[in-house]
Amino acid sequence: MQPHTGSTRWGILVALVALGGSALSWGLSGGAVFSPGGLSGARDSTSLGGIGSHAELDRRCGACHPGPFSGGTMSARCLACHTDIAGELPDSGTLHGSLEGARACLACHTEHRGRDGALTRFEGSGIAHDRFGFSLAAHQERTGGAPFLCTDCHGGRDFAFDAARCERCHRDEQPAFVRRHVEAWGHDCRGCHDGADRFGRNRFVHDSTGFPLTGEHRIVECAGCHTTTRSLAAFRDAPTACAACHQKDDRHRGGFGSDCASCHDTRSWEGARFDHTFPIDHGERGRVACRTCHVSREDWKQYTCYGCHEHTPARIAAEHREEGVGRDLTDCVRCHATGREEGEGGERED
Amino acid sequence: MTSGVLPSRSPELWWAFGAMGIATAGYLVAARSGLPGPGDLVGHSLGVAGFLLMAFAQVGYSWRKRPHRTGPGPAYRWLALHVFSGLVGPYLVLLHSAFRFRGLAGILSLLTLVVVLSGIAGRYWYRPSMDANPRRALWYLLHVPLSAAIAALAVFHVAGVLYYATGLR
Repeated sequence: MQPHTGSTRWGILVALVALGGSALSWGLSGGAVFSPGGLSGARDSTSLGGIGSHAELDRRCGACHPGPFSGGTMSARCLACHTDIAGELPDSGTLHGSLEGARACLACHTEHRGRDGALTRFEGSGIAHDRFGFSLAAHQERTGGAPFLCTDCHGGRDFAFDAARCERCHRDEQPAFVRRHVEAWGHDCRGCHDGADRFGRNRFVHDSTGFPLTGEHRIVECAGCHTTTRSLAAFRDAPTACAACHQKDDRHRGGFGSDCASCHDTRSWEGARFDHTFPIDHGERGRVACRTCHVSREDWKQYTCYGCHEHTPARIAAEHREEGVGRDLTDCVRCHATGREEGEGGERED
Repeated sequence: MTSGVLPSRSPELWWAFGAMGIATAGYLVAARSGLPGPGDLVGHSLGVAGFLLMAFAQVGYSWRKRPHRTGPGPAYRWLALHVFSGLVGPYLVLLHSAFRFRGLAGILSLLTLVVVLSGIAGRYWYRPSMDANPRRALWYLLHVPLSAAIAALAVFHVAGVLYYATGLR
């Protein structure tokens, strides 16, 4: 046998058989011989266009692939069934309406990846992410400098946001902190984080909230003050009054009111700056304990002068009667602001 | 010629491996964000380049090796180009497939593997003294006809792509 001649003839024959077999299988399979993979078996709660899942179209290529000369497009066929998406397109406030060229479904969505394959695969750059409550400002680069990918946050068949991916990534960066943080706040990262602050780089400036963190407040965990907060809005609405957090610490039992800052600063409870207008050392015993005058712990504004000296009610009453002074002999400071016997003012019963 | 694994006097193999190495490096860079799909820019380009190389491998040497042709260039260079494009082309198509072998693409991949292996065997294993060996005839009956089948199926594949996936987005 002349190899060249024989192989050429044999080759032409095999090629023709291959072509014929392919054409036959194409016709018999409804085009499925060209299918690069199975269609998704994902089901929605309702059927669209009479179809429960794409998988039912496995052998009906023409349902999505119009012929080249039919004038149709694949996107038009997508939207013919997915009318909810078609309804979003005119509204720029919706996900699909916000996208440039949203009618090019294949720019983001894919198929033929098997029954469990993802249906969305997009670069995300065309999405105005901020509009949907999460800025990508702090998610441009991973810790190592590699660019962020959509799959770093999204996954699954519908390519939805997956909070578990936040945790995985951030645990790699700061394992101990994230463990504590998740224990304190739970797993709903987006409930509080809007992507504007960059995790782990200490970029969040509390001063911008109108409540600068100073003194001991700088070392308190967020959860120490935002105890029940579970949303970003609640974070912003956190009370700033001292008593909101420190009522349980109030040794004065509310007796000095709730304006702690009038005496204390955030460095320490000790060392309060209290301007006691009445001279504590006015008497002969020098500085005396608060309780000498402020016998009631329930109200430190209450005081009595009858706890010491010769200040017995009967004696004071008698002396004042002689002088013809005052009916109310309990509010001594009203007239004796300096603690001296001579009254500096007040009413005299003439 | 030598019967070693990598003949030292076969620079076309080194050129081919070099080109495959460059293609691999580029592919790995592109694959950082996931394997390029057959229909992506990278995957599609690989497919077109591989197809053209395979077409050249098939047509070029077959055309030049005819006894009545004397040019252009010596036949052994055409054979070297045949080996180069016959290795690099299928490799690019393999990358183009994103390693998914289903349906027609799977059949094509399998046939291509057989043709490439038979080509390597025919080029570097058989010796001129084996011309009369019936196994050489068998190789001709395997390598050439399967190449023709691949060409037919590849054309069918391209036609299918044009029909189902091009210009319809």
